[in-house]
Amino acid sequence: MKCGFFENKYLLGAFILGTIMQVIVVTVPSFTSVFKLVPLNKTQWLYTLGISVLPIIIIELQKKLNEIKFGKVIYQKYGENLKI
Amino acid sequence: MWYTKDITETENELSTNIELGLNDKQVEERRKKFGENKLADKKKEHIIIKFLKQFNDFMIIILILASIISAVVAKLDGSGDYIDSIIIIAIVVFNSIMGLIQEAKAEKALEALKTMTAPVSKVKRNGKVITVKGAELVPGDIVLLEAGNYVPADARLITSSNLKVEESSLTGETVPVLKEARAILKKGISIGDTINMVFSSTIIVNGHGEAIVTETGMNTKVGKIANMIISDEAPQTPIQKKLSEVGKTLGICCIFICISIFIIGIFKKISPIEMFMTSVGLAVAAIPEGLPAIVTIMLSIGVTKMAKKNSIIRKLPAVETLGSSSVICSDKTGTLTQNKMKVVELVTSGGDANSKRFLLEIGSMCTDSQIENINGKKSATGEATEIAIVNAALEENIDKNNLYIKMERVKDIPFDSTRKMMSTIHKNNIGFRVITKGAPDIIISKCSKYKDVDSLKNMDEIARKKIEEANLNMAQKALRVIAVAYKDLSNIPSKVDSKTIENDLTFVGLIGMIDPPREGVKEAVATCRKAGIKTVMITGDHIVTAKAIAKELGILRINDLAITGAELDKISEAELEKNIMRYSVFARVSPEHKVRIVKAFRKTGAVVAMTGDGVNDAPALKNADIGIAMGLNGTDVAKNAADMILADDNFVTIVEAVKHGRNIFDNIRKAVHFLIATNVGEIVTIFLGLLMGLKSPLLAIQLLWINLVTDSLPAIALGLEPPEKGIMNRKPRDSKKNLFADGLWSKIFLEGTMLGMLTLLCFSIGNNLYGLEVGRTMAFVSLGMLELVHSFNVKSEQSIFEVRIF
Repeated sequence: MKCGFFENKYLLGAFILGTIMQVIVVTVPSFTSVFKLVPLNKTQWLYTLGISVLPIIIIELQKKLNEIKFGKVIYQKYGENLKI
Repeated sequence: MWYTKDITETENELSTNIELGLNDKQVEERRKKFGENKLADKKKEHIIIKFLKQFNDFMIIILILASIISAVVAKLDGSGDYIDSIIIIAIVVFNSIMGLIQEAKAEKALEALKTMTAPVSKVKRNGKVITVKGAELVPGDIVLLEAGNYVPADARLITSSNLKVEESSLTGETVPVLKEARAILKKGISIGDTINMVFSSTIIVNGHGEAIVTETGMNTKVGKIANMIISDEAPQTPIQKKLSEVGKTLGICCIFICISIFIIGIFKKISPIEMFMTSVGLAVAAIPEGLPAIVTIMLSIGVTKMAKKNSIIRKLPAVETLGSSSVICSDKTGTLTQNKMKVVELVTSGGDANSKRFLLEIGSMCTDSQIENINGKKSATGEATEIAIVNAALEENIDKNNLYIKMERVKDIPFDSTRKMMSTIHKNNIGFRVITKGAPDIIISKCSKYKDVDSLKNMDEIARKKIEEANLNMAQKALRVIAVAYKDLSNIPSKVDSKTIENDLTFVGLIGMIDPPREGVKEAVATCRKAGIKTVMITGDHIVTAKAIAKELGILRINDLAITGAELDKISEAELEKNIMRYSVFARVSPEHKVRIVKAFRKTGAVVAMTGDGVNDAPALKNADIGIAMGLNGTDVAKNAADMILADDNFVTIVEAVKHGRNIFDNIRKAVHFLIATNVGEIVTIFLGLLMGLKSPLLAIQLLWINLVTDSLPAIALGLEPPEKGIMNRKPRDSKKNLFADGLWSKIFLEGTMLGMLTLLCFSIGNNLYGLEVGRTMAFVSLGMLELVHSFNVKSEQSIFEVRIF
C-alpha cells in the first residue's frame, strides 16, 4: 500500500508542528490562562482525539464511493474536449 | 547642441576615443559624476502609508470593530478583561506587517526578474567590444547600435548604415526616421529632424551604426519628459481579484449572521453582553485572516521557482493563463531547433570543384558574422546561418578576412524579413562586385544569368527548373537552403538600395545546411498532445523543410495541414477561423501573418501561447493570451511586449512552464479550499451551538489562534504540493471557469458543516460531562486537530491511500 501521507513533507511538518502547538497551548500554564483553557485528563483526550480522526474516514469513504460511481476517471475535470 | 557639432568635435568635447572607447578609470569617474543611466524610480510610497493601506481591507475593518466591541463589553461587565481586545488588535497589526513584508518580497522578486531581462548594450571599452547593462553607460561611451534594440541613451552618431529609428515614444511619429551620421545641423530643430543623433527609449528598426553617448539617465530627452513609462504596472491576477470579492462577501455574510444572532438572542433571552461576545467570536471565525497573504506568498514562490527553471514571468496573470493554454505556436529556428547550422551540401550551376569554391568565397564575404580564435578557443558571433557558411569556407582554407583585404567591403544593404535577402558591395581593381544572398525563390527571381564552369549563361526556363528542383531536393531532406548570386559593376549608382542594386544578378549556387532539433522537443510535443495542447510550427523557412522537420517532431500528423504565408493571404478571415485547427505548420510567414494566426485560433476559443523574438513580433505577442519572448536571441522590444521570457530559448521550457502554471493554480485552489472550509466549520459550530441554547463553544481568542496559527501552516504547505500525477494528462483548464468552479463551493460547505458538527459534538460531550471550561477546551483541541487532519483530505482529489495490486 502506497501512502500519500509522506508525499508532501511540508504538510507532514505542518501537521506535526500544529499538533505540538495545540498540546502546548492546552498544557503550559502561561498559555492556558490567556486562552482560558484547562488541562484535560486521559478520557477527555481520548474523546477529543477519537473525534478528530473522523474526517479522514468520512472523506475517504466519500472518495471511494465516487470512484465506484464514476470509475477511476480522475482527470476529466476542468476541461472540455478539444479537437487537436 | 551636439547635433551642431561634427563627429571629431564631439569626440574631443567628451574626451573620448572612437577607436578605443573609454577606459575603466574614465568610466568610474563619469559614473561618479553623472550617476547611473536610469530613469528615477517611481516615487516610493512612504512605508507608513503602505502600512495604513493594509487596514483598508473590509475584513480587517470587521476585526477592528470586533476588537472595539470586545473592549466595550469588558468595560461594561466590569471584568476589565481587555486581553481579547488587545490580542485581536495585535493580530490585526501583525497581519498588516506580514502583508507589507509579503508585498515587499513580491515586488523585489519582480524587480529582480526585470533586471535579469534588462536591456544590454554593446560598448567599446579599453579597446574591446563588450556587453554591459544599459544602466552602466556613461557620457563618452562608444555604443554599437543594432536593429531590434532600444536606444540606451542619447548619443551622437559616428556611423550609420541604413539606420532607421522609430521615435514615437518621443515624437508621436510612427514612421521610422532615416539617420545620417555625417550630417551637421543648425540650431533649433525638433527631435524628429535631428538625424545625426539617436535618443534614449526609441527603437532601432533597421540597419546598424555606432554612436558616442552624450547624455544619460535623467539628462536625456526622455528623462526630461518625466512621465515616460517603460516599466510595467503589476496588475492583480484574476485569482487575487476573485479572492478580494470573496473576502467582501464573507464580510457581508458575517454581518448578516451577527444580525440573526441578535434576533435569535432576543427570543432566547440571552444577555446582550453574551451576544456581543458571540458576534465578536463569529466575526473572527468567519474571516479567513491568513488568506490574501498566503495566496501572495504562493504566487511569488511559484514565480521564483519558474524563473529558476528558465521561465521568467513578466506579468503575474500569465501564471494562471499558462494552466489553461490549449495551443502553443512556436517559432522553428532556435526554439524547436538548436539554431546551430552546419553546411552539408553545396549545389552550383557550374557543377565543378572550382564553382563550389567560388560559391564559398562569395558566400562567406556576404556575411556579418565573425569567427575568432581567442586563447585557442573558437568564438563565433553573428547569425547561425552565416556562421555555418563562414565555418564551411574556413574548412576549405577560405578566410573571409583575407578576401576582404583583396576586395574591400564598401557598402551593404542589410537583411530584412520582408525582402528576405541581403547584399554586400565590394571594391576591386576593375570596379565593384555586388554579392547577394537569401531565400532561393527570391534570389532566382532577381537573376538574369547563371554561372557555368567558365562562362556566364542567360537564365532560361530549363536552368530555372533545374535550380528549383535542386532546391526542392534539399528542402525535402529538411535542409535550410540559401542561394548566392553576384554581379560586377563599373560604378555604383548614387542611391544604394534594393531597387537599384538587387536585380540582374548572376546565379552561382545553393548552400544547404541542417539545423538539428533540440533535445527533448519530440517528447515535449508528445506531452503536449496528451495534455490536450496543440503544437503549431511557425517559420520563415521553406514549406518543404518545415514539413520535414515537423513530421520528425510529431507536430505534423497524417491529417494535419501545412500552409504558406502566400496561400494564407488568399484565405478570408472567416474561412481561416473555420479551418484553423486543421493546420499545424505555417511556413514563409511574415510577422503580419502571425497576428492573423493568433487571432484566428483565439476566435475558436483556444487559449494561445505565441513565441517571438523580433521587433515586428510585438503585435503577435501582445495579441496572444501568453506572449513568449526569447531570452537569448530576442530583441528588447519583443521582451517588453511579452508575458513570459524563455531564458534558454527552448521549446521544452514552455511545456515545463505550462506544467508549473497548472500546479500553482491547483495548489492555490487547495489552500483556499482548506482555509474557507475550516472557517465555515467554525461558523457552523458557533451558530448551531447558539441555536441549541448552549453557551458559545469557543471564545474569540481561541478561534483567532486556530485561524492564524493552526490553519496557516497546512495552508502554506498545501501551496507547496508537488504536481499531481497525471497533471499533464488532462485537458487544459477552461479559462472561463474561475477558481471555485466544478463544485468547490458545495464541497466547502459540506466539509465545513462536517467539521462544525464534529466540533460541536466534542464540545457537548465535554460540556455535559465535565462542565463549560472542559467543554471549550475539548472543542478547542478537537477543532484544531480536525482541521489539521482535514488538510490531508484536501491535499488531493484522490484517496490518500493507494492500493497497488502489482
